[in-house]
Amino acid sequence: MTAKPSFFTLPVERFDLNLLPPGARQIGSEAFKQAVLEHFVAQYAPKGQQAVVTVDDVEITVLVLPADSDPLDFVMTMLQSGRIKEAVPYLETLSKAQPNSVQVLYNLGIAYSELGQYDEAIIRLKRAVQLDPMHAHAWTGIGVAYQRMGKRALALEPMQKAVEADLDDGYAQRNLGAMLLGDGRSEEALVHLRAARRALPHDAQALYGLASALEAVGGDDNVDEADELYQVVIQKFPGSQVAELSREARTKLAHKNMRAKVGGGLRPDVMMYIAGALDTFAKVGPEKSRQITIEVALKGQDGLDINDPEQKYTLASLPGKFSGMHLLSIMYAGLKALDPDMDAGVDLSAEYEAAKAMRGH
Amino acid sequence: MFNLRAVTKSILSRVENDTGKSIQFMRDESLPVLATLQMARNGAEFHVLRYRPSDDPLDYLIAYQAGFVLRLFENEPADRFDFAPLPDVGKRVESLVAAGQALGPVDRQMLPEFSKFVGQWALMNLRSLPIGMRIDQWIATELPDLRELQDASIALQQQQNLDLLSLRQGKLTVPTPLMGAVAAYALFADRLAGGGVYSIPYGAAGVLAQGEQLLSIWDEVPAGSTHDRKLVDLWAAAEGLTGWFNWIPYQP
Repeated sequence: MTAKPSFFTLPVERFDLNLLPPGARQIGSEAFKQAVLEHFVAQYAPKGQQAVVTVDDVEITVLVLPADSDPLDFVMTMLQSGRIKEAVPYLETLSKAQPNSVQVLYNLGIAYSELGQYDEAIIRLKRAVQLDPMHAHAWTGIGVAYQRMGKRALALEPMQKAVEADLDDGYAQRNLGAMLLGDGRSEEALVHLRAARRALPHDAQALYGLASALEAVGGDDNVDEADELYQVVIQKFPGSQVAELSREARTKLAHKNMRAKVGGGLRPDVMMYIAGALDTFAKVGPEKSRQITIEVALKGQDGLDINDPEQKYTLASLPGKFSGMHLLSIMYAGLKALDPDMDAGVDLSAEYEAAKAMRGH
Repeated sequence: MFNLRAVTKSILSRVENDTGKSIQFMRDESLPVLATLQMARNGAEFHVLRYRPSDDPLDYLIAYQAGFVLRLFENEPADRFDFAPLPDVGKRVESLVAAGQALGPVDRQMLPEFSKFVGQWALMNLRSLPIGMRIDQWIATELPDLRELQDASIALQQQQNLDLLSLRQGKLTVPTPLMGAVAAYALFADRLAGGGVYSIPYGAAGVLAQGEQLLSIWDEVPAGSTHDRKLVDLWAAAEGLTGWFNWIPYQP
């Protein structure tokens, strides 16, 4: 007995008409379709299996699975384990058998979207929202599909519909917020991304999106809040893509702040830190210099607080206590020594050149 | 190298003993199937077991492949033969594919290639299914450690065979007379699994009687490997494939 579901299709002309009552042998007739369906159901039922059968003018599709299982549950398990391509034929069969099932249409639409078949996705998802206009996820799915197609103008409306359908849906809020942010409508985006964070307090993308919106809107309070959120993302989701984006955002933010404090000119403290680093490197030699640089770079992965002058950092490879800006300067000097063309993630080139000139290099 | 079960290792040892040649394992990421066992030929000193790295255990597949080698070598050297399809198989299938329908120019254009594929598929089934069913019976009866893997593999194979029911290019489909072997295999799988669901699609397609006929031949012919050639010939006669292939003496 097969416990695993199976699936097959049969061209209608291949079906053995002798198996059907005489009045149901006209291929394509409603009687034919009904009799074929009943045939398979009756064949599989005694074997403890159920058959989900659809018959159109071209082919018969049959999904066979254990009698006590819910067909949609079975397909959902497939989808959740990432077997999306494999799940599509089953969903198609279910969709034909239950043409008004919003759940089936929604999952089929999302599956097509994940497979990059956006037109197919949009057709199913639009049918889903036609049947259930309050299905926020289906609206979002339409918006995402349009967005993936590069049709941003068409993506906005369904994303707004998603939010209208369910104000508490964090994903709908998050997607609309990101969309608006991408269009430069930062103030509007901020409203939705705050709502997204309320609904999804532990969602990395919602946190990152909110931080980005706060930064885009600007103002000291917003930028401070953004920086805090970036730190939360880095700490809570290490290794993720949004953590990496947050690190980059923090670096840029810090750089902007640093330059703002001196009206865009040279920072003498940085110049001194770099000069000190160059002296140290000359004294300890290249191997030790590399060791120091790598240790600072690793520490910097979690974000150095370069706006706080407090000497709160220590290194195993170098004695003393350091501020965030001091460590960043050491790292910059170290990376430039290793490879002058390396992108250190922050531009301290003016201070570096000045420090080298000061040291007569 | 991958970890094989003790039972599989002992089967491979038997292959090495019976054939007098060792087995070389070869990892092959591009292999279309999970494992193949290529017999040493033309003076080669070893057989080659190619395998595709997989999370699924390969034991059943390797045992199944080894079964063909063991059965061949159970015969006296003079009675060992290779199955050789004739080159005009596609031509022979064309009339079956085209039978009973008016083909348009596009279908006519596709007919030779489609028929060639179907002919090769039918002869591959003829060569591998009746003997493969002997091997499956042996595994089911004598190698309980592989039973679970066997069930899973047969289920997968049955699903792949079902795909042929719907194969269509324009008006071209697999001719019903050539579906008998896979129908017989489905009936056999039902018998082995104690279920009865594998053969239902073939019943709906009207080819179950052919399958029953082939399975009945399989039951009647003694199971020993010395009868393998006769079994294939009888299936060929029942399917109308006599003369589509030759038996040529096996050259080690």
